[in-house]
Amino acid sequence: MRSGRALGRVGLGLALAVVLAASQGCTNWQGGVPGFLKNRLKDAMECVDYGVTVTKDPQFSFYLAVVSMTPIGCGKVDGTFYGMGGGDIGAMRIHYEHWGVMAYGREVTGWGNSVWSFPEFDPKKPETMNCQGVGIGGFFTPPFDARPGGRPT
Amino acid sequence: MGLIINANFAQMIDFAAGFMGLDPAGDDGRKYGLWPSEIPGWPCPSGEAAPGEKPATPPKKTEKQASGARDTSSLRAQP
Repeated sequence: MRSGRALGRVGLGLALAVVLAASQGCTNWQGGVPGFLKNRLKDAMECVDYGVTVTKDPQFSFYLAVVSMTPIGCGKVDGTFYGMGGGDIGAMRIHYEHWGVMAYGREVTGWGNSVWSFPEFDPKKPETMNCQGVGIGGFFTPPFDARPGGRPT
Repeated sequence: MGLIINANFAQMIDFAAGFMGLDPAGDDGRKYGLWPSEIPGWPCPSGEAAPGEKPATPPKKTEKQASGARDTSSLRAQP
């Protein structure tokens, strides 16, 4: 009985390790230790988005989604973001179009560069931004263009 | 002026997994994450640079390598 439980635990651990390892692959070591640490710094800054947006002309947005499950509100903003967001920190371009009606919603977010120098996003090209369906309906209906790590927020 | 407050829970897991040599979000060296089918050379892709750097290019062959002798000078730390 005990050996069965132990075997079960080992199996569960192994399964978890395999799932994690096979989910996406290895950490990037290009650039050696500094490159590795830069990626970890970027990962750390991706954990939260916190700051203020400033636009030249008046724009409206009121949007809230708890763990991407209850999107409510709408808005479209194209301006400058000051703070930590999109894995970067400082002043950067921002574009977002969000809407939600609880069971279904959609989020389109483009983050510019401040510290890093990635290719700039283009609001006309969704592939250069982070687009995803939210809410129960958004999870299971097309277009399935969410990126790994984009949800839940 | 507007206010943005957001927590990315999946990115927190990605951050912790990064120290274990894993990249569940597929975003190392990229602005946004990619799925395995979108990553060339998955599961251990090469040629991706650290954030803010130009993409890495393959090293050129030295005279020693061309003549068949092993040259270890260009070896880098690997996971």
